[in-house]
Amino acid sequence: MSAAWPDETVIGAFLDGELSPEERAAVERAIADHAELAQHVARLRADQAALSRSCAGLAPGPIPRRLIEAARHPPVPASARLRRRRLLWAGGGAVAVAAGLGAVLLTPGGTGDPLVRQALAARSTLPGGAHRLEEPSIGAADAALGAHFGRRVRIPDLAPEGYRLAALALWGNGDRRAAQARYEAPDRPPFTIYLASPRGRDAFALEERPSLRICVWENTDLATVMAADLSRAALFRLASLAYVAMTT
Amino acid sequence: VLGSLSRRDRAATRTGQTREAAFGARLVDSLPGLRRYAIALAGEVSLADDLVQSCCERAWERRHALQDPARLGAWLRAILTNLHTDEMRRRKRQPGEPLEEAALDTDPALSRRASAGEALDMQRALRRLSDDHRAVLLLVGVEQLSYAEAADALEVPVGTVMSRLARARAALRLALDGEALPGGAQPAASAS
Repeated sequence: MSAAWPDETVIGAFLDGELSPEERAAVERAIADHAELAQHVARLRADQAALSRSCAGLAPGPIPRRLIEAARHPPVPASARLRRRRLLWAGGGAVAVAAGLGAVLLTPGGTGDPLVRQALAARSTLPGGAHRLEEPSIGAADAALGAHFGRRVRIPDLAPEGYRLAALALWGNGDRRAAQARYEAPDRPPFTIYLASPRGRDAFALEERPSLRICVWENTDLATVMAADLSRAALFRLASLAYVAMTT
Repeated sequence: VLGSLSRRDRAATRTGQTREAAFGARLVDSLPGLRRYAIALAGEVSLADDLVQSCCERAWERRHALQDPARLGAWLRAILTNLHTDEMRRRKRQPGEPLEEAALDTDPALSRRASAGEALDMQRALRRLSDDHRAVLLLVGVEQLSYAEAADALEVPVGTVMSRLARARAALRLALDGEALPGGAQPAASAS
């Protein structure tokens, strides 16, 4: 009895060296049994080799100096400062607008907002069944968040601020999905971002509690609660950078 | 105490500068391969160069996220692929819509390759594929990323990489056959 003709994805994995020795042997047996399969694999291999050859020559002259400079040095500090200032102005503008609307809450004792309660509970102890990613890359965290919320949600990269993404936890289902990103820095208290399904409104609030400053920032796509034992200015700076990164 | 802190600070600064210089040197070393990938992906040298520049800037901004330095090449290609996807979205070009043939024929750098008939046919065929198919073929078939690395770069599961690759290879073969036909058949670019 001859070996079965493998699926195209398996043939591809065979070509790309992605099969286990057993799977590879099975494909080799099938190739030995089917002359047409051997021809098909040979043609795929030839196409791949031709593709590699054609791309190998795509080197039009010397590399432009601007690329070498961009690779050799960090982005020009002036433009980075300008960009950061723009972000902070954007955040400050949001606060000013919110203040004008009477929406800013600088509440020493807390507002009793259920979203904040949920965020602080998760900050203390993650809900049972939460899926936790330790030290995820920004790309992996982006992908996990996107899959969890069913749309693209960018996880902020706060490395320029000295914070690394230490953990990402995901839980809930339906319209009660939530996540918590925990950032850590060697010399400062941890910073957490609680993300939840939107509550259908735009809102901004700052709360002050003993040893904790809390920023609630919502739009119609996302509800966030950011918290850290930092000064109000420092928290607001981090929250502004994070919120802009998440929503642009 | 102040003097000691100051010395420590200076040492830390020197260490940081050394690390940054090493990172920059590795980025410079990566440029030729990264630029080849960008040109194959974008089909235009000017756009490819803009993508490479943005990729370098983002790599610097996110350098602390690179946990395994050995994966620098795959990491850069992931960043560049995402930048290209964003750019295509920005241009409001539908996924799967082929780049204009003119982009290939009028670019002096690519036109010089007309002497290599096979290579030009292949690049034209590649242009006819959807962005998704072109990216996965280049990442796995040319850049030698593993399926897991390609999945990370494209932000899709490994199973999707496998099925997308199979469809991309079939589409490439159709496009190549089309090139050989008189009148130039236009195989439909299929999005996965």
